[in-house]
Amino acid sequence: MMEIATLLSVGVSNGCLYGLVGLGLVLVYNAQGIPNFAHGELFMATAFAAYVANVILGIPYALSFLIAIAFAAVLGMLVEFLAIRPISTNRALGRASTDVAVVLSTVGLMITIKGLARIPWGDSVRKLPGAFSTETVTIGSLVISTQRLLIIVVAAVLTVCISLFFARTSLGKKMRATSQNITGAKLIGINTGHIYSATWGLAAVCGGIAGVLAAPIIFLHPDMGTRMLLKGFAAACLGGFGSVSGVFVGGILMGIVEIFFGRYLATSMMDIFAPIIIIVVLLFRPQGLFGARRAVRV
Amino acid sequence: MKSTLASCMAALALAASAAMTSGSARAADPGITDTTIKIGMMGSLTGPAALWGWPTINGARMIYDKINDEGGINGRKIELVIEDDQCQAPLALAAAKKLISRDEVFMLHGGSCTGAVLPVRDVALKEKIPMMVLVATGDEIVAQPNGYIYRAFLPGSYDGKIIADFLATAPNVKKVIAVGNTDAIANVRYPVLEASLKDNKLEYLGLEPIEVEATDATAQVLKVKSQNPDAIVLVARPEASAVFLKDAAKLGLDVPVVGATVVDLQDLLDRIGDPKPMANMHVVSFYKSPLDGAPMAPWIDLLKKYYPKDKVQAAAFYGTSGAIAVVEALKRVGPDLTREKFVKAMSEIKGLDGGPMACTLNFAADDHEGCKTGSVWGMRDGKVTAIGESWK
Repeated sequence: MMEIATLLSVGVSNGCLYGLVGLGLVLVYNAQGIPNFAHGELFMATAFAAYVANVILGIPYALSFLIAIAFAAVLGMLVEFLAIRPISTNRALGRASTDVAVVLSTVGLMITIKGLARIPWGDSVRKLPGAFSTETVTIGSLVISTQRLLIIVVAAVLTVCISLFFARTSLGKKMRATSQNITGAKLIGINTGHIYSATWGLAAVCGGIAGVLAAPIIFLHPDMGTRMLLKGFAAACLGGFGSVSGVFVGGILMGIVEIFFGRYLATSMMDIFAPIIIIVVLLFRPQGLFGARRAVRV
Repeated sequence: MKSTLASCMAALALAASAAMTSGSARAADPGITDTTIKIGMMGSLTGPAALWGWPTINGARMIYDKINDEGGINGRKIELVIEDDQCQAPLALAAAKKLISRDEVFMLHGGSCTGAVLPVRDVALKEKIPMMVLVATGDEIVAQPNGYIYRAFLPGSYDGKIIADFLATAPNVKKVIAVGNTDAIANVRYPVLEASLKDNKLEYLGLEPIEVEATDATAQVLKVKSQNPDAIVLVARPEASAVFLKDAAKLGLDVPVVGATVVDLQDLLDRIGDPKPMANMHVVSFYKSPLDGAPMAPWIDLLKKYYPKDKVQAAAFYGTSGAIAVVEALKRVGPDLTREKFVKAMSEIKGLDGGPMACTLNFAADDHEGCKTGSVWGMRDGKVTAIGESWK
């Protein structure tokens, strides 16, 4: 029984990380139809920002966390402004060519950001301390990592906040309007350029929070985002690209199934679980578990 | 007069013949001039295995730098051309071909990962290019038949035997499980480990795989716990080893762990940042002593002299013994250097001090594995400590 509880706690916390990363992907995809392959690098860069603030500059953890998140927001908006917008608004390219060029641009960004990270950090591995001085808490005979508990709490709070943000705030409603109908949004005076910047910033914040929370568990290195990107894509596919809470549930489901699969079937198969989920979902339920089929008038 | 003329003609003919012979030797063996010997180095300078890139290359370079500062070998200084192979076979092959064809190096000194070096082996043997392996541990790289490729540190399979022999001396160890990666670096170790455990009458419970880039080892730890082993052999790269040890400590898996040479105890301690998960940990090492031991001091000083910015870490000296052997062979050949003479000289090296390595170097024409002894380190009072002098 304790083993099941242990597996559940680890599976849920891993799943929350996948969900957070997946959410960043979904936000950008819903806004502009772009699968952002550089999202894993935003996850990595934010974790390193927290490392600089906390370990190198000696700033307290909570403040370092906030600095890193602010860094993520700025980085996300800069990426949109400098690398995505000039391509997506280039009328010289046809529509299909523009779509391909933007996706390729995110691939280029992925390689560039990773390469830039290698300049100061090399390829050695660093450790960001956890939020709490006590690494574990014991409930009965169940031992749970305090960092994992934090991940679960932050992810749950963030899901609620983002849902409220889209439902209640003016900016959230403008983002939804822009993602549903860009021409309509422009006609009613929404500055879609600003909306896209804000969307990329928010997406980077989601990925960045996951990066800072995951760093004490998985170590920091320039390649740390690549693996998480795949897990985030799988979570988004499983939950459905159209639903904020669906992505989180998809991530959690993936985390749980993955770890139980590893424990009771084959640990060697754990890492191929994410690509299998992507393929199976795309084949049999492309809208994901919680997404709705989108009807397109032709 | 006639005899004087004949003598002069004979001398001229001899000189011309010698010059032609010398010229043809140089044409046949690129990379040698009157003042330089060009050596091509390659390693994983970037990518996930970069830990074994610059640190190991610089650990070899410092030997070449030192010899250059001392005037070179037989009047020739060593000139290095360095390429990045990222531990990927296609890149390693491309790097080797570039070094051989475009840079026209005399020999190769490189290779950080077995999977990447194996295709290079075929090229080196086909082209008859002498090669010293930098840090790749796979046995098959240096396996016979092989006329040109040498290694001067403990090969991969040997630490499996050392681990088994070490565990046989531990009290109350009867059942042993392996936890490790399933890449080429790790796979080379399992067959010898299993056979050596059986030779030592220890039960082998099998292998629990862990991914190279694992971020969580809960499933592995719980699976291992369910099998109730007396000891664990850890054959995983540093990142995965650190993750496993942290999760093992968290989940109460408290049995002795012995790591292969793919990890270094001090490096693991730095990564984990807490000696507790490593209290029961040992690793097989290439070296004579831990880094703070007296035998390592001259090599650390040398590294600091030539590469002061490099971190003093175990990986820094993996390539050193290879460079020591190369320099020794080049010296033995003398000024009339050719590739064939070089490999002959390499094969004749016996009893050469392996520098930082726990072995003396002994090569033969039919055995190019120069180093067959390692050491075992453990944590004692939170400090990395050598357990015994050396293990075979």
